[in-house]
Amino acid sequence: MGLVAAIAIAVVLLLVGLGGGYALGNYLGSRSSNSSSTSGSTSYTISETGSSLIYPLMQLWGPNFTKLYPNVQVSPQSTGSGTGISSAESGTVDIGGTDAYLLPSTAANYSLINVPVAISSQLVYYNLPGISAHINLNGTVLAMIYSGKITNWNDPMIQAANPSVSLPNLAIVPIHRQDGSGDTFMFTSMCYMSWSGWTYGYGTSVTWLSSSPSASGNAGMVTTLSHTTGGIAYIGISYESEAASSGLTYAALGTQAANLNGTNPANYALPTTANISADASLGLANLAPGSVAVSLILGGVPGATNLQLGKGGTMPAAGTTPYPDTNLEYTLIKTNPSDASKQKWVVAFLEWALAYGNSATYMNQVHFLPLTPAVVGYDMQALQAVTVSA
Amino acid sequence: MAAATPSNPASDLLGPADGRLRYRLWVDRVVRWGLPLTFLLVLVPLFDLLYWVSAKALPTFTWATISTNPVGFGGGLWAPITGTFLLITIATAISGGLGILAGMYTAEFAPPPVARLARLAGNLLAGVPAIVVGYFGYFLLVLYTHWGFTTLAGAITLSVFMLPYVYRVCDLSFSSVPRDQREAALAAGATPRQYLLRVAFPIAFPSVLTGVFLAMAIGLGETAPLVLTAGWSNSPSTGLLSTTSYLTGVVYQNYQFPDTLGHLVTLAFQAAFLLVVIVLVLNILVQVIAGRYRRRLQGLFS
Amino acid sequence: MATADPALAASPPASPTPPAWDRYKLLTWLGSPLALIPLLALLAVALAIVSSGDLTLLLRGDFWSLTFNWNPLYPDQAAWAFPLYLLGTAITAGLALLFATLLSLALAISLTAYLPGWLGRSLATLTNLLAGIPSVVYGIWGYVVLAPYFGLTLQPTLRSYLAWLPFFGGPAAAAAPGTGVLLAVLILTVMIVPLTTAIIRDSLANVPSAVLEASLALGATQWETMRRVRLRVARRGVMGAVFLGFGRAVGESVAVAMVVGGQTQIPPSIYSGTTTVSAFLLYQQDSAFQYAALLHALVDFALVLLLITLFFNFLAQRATGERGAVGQTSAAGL
Repeated sequence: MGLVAAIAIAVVLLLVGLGGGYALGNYLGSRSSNSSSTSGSTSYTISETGSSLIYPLMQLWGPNFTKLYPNVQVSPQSTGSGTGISSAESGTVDIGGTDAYLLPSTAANYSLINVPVAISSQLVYYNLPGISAHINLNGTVLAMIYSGKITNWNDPMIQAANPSVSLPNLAIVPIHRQDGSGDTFMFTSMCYMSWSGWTYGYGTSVTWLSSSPSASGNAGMVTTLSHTTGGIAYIGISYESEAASSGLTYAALGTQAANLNGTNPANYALPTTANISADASLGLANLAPGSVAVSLILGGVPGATNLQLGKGGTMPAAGTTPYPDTNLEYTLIKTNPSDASKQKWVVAFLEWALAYGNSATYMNQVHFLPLTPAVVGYDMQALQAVTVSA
Repeated sequence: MAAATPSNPASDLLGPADGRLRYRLWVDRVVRWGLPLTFLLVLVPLFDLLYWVSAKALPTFTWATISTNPVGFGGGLWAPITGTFLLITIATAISGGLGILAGMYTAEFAPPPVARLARLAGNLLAGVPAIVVGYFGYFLLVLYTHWGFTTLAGAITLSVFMLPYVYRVCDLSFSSVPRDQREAALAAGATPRQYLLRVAFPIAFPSVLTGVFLAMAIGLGETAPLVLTAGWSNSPSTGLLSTTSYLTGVVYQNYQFPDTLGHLVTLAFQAAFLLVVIVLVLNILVQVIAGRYRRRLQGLFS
Repeated sequence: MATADPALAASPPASPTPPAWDRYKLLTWLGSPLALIPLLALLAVALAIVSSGDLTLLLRGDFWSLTFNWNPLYPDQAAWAFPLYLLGTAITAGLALLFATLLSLALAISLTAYLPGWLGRSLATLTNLLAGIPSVVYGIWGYVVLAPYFGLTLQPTLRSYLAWLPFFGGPAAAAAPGTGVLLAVLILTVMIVPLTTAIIRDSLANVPSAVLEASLALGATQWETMRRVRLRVARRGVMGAVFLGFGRAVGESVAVAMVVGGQTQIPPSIYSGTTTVSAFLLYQQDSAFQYAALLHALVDFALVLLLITLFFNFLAQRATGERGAVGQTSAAGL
């Protein structure tokens, strides 16, 4: 165990060195010195559209990049991952933002690359009057709740995982997103990977139980759940403070081990920074260099089909349990842009974001976590493939 | 009101045998006084809406609300205001130009079968749902042209939505120019162009203008066509082929945020308030012009 | 355009039919495309939709199935449950139209027969204001202001008194509290009332006064004259208003999407949520851009929506004559 951890740490440190050095070298290298000579001569507006989760991050990054390069403005738009992907494919925006990676084969068809820019996570909230504890829920239980197989809060499966909580005899009302959403993609991915009985697939929009009520947007989920006694809902971590002020409590979610052994409390993780990082390093370990396109759900559990998984296996740091509902936030950009001189600035913006924007200063404000240095390094490498004008 | 009810004295003359008639008069009076009360059902929602939009928007409405751009979870409405202005200006220019031309032609020149077809198309176009027009704009102006989400795509999509309103009013305005005017112009030896520009157009103009204002008010309040075409930009649009923001978009993107998240809902209400104020001003303009127009026509006939 | 043309004053007519007016005939035919600009725009809209969709889907059973099934992993097994969306549309738009028509009849009759001119004008102006308020403003008012009141006060009250009525006793709105059929119908009613009122009022005002005087002279009361004579003569206008109002209610997307709840279901009660074709087009737009099968279905939804609204607008035009009802009323500032 200790040996594995030591090797893991060594690998991480090596990658930090490689990635960090690479990042800075590239960012401060020939490209930006070329670009600074043209700085100010032409002004550019970099357009971004897509995921509503990335939107606030872009809002933070944009003005700070403009401070450095006044001739470049960044205009983000909160539309949804689907719009982000399709707009990037058609080349109608410079950056498409999405919560789900684009399959590498599809991306190649459209000359796009996945550039992850942050680590986000999702919380599962419930509205149980009188219960302020973080109850333990695992993917299997959640999948069964959303499939209508578990219908009451005092169900033995939930109670077994929460021996110290007296759960009420109350119907569970599973609430889902009615609009297409990356949050639905994350949540259904977790259900799909956790329970073989899950029949709804995974994606930004799936068919749910017809009795399951719906809400639009994360904000709508918060409002709806706060008015639905016995309700349960999946909500992006950016809305943590809103949900908290609405009196909602989130669950500790089970790791892949909890799907096999739901009663062991050690298999449940709260969405702390350390736990989310643990899941991310699980999913991001042993990646091949190049464009990163992986799911971090359940640390990239092996065995699930169809999903593009991390080559998981690295054990979490001592004292942490990987928080399973974790995800990379992606941007998509063209490798053969129609306007290569503008693309130079798009690349410069992403390189700046990865080198300097990828810090707790920015990430904390939107409840994200910085990327691991390894991913930053791979991103920087992938950006090299983009055609830009000298 | 009492003077307008001549049947009242008659009811005093009715004897006990006139029960049927008494009932009929009673029903008449109930309807006379009861039916106008239904206006309350319209006025209560109207004033409730105006009250709440003002109450949510005004307490924090400052100069900064108008003069700054949206930033992060708050900011102001400067970019959406300029964006709406830009979109409406371009869309009005397009739909106004084409609508007036088409309306004038339909009323003045088009052979009856052509005019019938044109009017049918105009009325049908006015019934096309905004969201369908939005999909049209997305497929044709965003994807097919490879423009992407742009001010121009938004404005053209909006102009398609506004066109029938200008067109129908313009057609009607030119059609209602009295036939005598045309015959008089012909008798005086005017060419068709002279007749159109110097006789028909001045008479129809105020009414055409109300149509344009009407179309502006309608375009101003549309959301669905722009969601699919105009993109979004937190700073004022830098050109026709760049993205833009707009007031209805501020409302649509932010209406659901919890109050704890910055002041996005307040910003949405402030955008709604501005929209309502602009629509009110346009409405008043239309009423004023329509009033003057009526007087002018009356002067013409007296 | 405004350049002075001295020819008007200078040249006397050279012949009984001046050559300029002969050219006018030529202009009539050559310029025909100008009049057809609205037709071209309509065709462009229709073509853009038709060419982007998958028309064969319209003929397949999975489009008309009664259960919605969309699993992104198996797009070929998708079922679109279009009848459910159609039903949700029919229920919300139909109820709104019922209330709007009744209310409009009352308002239009009051305006034409019972209210003194100055009061009628002011009230008509105020009613027209409702038509100008953007749909998204109705939406935020409905969602932020009305929905909590509906969910916490109005619906429990209605349920406690009217639970014995069908559709009044069912479960509460399970989505965001207060949103659902009831709220959507209210918002839609308020939105289409100005339109239907203006058209009905217009057609009532156009009934020749000789007909009304004849009725009054025969001893009918004013109400009887209104009900039996005036409304009957103006019935085409009322029909036009109904068709046009229905087209408008069916096509409304933003305001409805904000307050209707969004569940793909036949609403078990007036408190529960449902969805409409227009609202679905707005909700699923983002996902559709990600999955080709969903986009094809969505475009077909848009196509059927377009056909439905065109059909009802066509009926409205048939009922109200060549220029259509709105052509007449819009000059009045609506």
